Amino acid sequence: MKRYRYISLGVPLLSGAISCYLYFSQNIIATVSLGFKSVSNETNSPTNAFSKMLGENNDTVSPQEIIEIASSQDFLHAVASAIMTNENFDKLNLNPFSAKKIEPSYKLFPECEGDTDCQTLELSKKLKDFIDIRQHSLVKTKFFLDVKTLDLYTSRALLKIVTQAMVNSRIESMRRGLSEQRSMTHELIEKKTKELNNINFAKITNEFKLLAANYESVERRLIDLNAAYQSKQFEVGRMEIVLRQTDNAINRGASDNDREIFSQQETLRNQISQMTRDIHSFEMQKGSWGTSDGVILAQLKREWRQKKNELARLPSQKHSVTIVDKFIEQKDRDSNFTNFEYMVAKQELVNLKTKTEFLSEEKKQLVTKKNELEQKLEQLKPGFEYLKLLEGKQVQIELLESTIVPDIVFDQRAASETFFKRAEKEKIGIFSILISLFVMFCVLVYRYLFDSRIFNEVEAKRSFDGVEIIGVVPDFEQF
Amino acid sequence: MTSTGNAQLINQFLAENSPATTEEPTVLRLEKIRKSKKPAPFTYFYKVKNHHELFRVGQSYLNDYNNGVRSFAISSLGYQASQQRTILGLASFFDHQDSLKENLKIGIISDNLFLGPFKTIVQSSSAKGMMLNTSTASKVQILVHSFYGHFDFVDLNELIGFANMPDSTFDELIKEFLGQFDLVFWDVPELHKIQTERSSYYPMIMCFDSLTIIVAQGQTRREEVDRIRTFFGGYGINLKGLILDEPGNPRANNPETKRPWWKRWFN
Repeated sequence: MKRYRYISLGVPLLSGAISCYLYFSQNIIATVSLGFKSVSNETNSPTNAFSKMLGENNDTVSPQEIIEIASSQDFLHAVASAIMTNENFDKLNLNPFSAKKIEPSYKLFPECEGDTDCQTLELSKKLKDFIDIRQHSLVKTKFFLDVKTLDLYTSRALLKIVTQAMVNSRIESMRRGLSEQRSMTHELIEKKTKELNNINFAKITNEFKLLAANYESVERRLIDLNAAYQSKQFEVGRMEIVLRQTDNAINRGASDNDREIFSQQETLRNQISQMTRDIHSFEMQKGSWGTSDGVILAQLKREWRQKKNELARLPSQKHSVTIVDKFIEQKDRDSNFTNFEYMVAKQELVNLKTKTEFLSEEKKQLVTKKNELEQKLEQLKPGFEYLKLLEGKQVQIELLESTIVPDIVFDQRAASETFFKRAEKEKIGIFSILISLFVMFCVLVYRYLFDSRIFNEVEAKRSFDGVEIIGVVPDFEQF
Repeated sequence: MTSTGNAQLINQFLAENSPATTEEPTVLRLEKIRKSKKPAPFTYFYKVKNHHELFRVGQSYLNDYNNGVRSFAISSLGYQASQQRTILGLASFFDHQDSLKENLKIGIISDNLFLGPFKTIVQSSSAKGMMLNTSTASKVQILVHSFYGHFDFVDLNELIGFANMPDSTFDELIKEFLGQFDLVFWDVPELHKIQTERSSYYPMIMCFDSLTIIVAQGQTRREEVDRIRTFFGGYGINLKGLILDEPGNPRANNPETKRPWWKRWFN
């Protein structure tokens, strides 16, 4: 830098001078900012609330999409059209920020020669510089719309136009989205209906319903039959037992031995009873006993115990042989009727079994058929459900379409009105320093590489190999 | 003046308004000071600042002188003042060499006697005519400015003025002239002047025994040095070496060395 001090000083000075010129030759820009909020994600958004009520998930707009509205060609064209048709168009200052001379609006597009479409198109290109949307640093759903022009009046007027255009744009965008959804849903419904008609879904459903009813009837009848069969089977079983027991009783009857034992027992009981009475009589007349009465009483008591022991040794008999004979006689009489009843009941049981088996077979067939139809219906069910959902959705979309509310809400008052120059002092200063450093570096490198001047003895020796460096020119001083 | 060369006294001249100043007493006083080796009691003295460098440079030339070289040409790219300072330094160095003969005749030939460092000295010198005999022409007188017997200044332009004489006579004249000196320093004009009147300067160039180029540090370019070297090399004159000039010394304003500002900045 010492070697090339003029360049080292000149480049920053030149850069500084250019920066100063650029800074002071800039126009002052008037900015009007208006805050707005995106309510598309909020529960209190009217459209969202209505969508949720209908069970519809409404599409939301992302912050990036909102920011990009300002650079959307369609939007800018819409704004340009609104500006062109504005009654104060001639009063607006739509000159570019770098304009050296302020021209009236109607003179801004001389190349269009009065063609409105051309003017609108050209204006929409310029609007990119005038409109900006930025997001709040902390609140994600909060945004600011900045409108910058060369005078405050134009900025304010433009702000009104742009806010209205943004609202219209959002409504139009949402309506377009819903309309597309509706037409797509309609197409899908038609397609699905056609598909279901082709496979005769209604016929299959009716057939299944009929089959199900039939199955239920068979099922009920089978249950009744089963109950009757069970009841009859119980009755037959009981009859069989009765008959078998009757036969057993008849066959067994009262044996001779029983009859003899029964006779001995009766005799013994009578003797014991007589002896008991005698003993009791003797004991009652105890005071008037003679000498032989005590011996007789002892004799009686001995005999009484002997008879008691004999009775005890004989096998016990519950019923008297007479009663048994009467019972057998009665059962024998009843058995004829019971046997007839049993035969009838058994025949009925066989009939019930046959019917049950027939119904079971029928039920089995119905179940197979029902399962087949059920499977078929299961396969078709999603399509049918889908169709139902589509129909529901179409209704929801139609309702939404008729009740669209914009999902951006502008503040009532403009946030700020500021005046500034396009390139700030600090920015231009830093830029100037960086540029001058870069240029200086490039120039110094270039100069160093291509500089053929000789600066010292070493360079002289290197440049002229073999030539003697004699010394240094003498210098004189006066004293 | 001292004989060591550490504080080389080059010149002293008296103030013009001094009524007592005369040529004779000054010479006497100078001679007396030189022989007595005492510091000069005069008002104006010039001292070499970089006496080590002068000794180094002078020693190199002394070696050449001892090897028989008598005619030294000092050239540069327009740094006339530096050329003159170098010549003055060398002349003083030789003038004060005790190893050489007592009255060493040193001639300094320049086309700028009344400009630059020479000016004051030449103005303080006494002019006298030097008669030269040639075989073909009549006697020729050349004006010589003698500085108190230390060195003689001759105007190169006057010498070149005889160039219209027949070639043989001019060559003879030059030789006769150079024969008057034990040692000659040529303050070589700028190259463009020589190239313009190449024929006039030719006899002079042929008298050079060695060529020294002064390189101004940070100003002189390689190609410029090469151009001088090539030019004089074409006449068979070898480059003795380079003497570096301190940066910042003014350069003569001539069309050859003057470059547009943007070229000076970028190349």
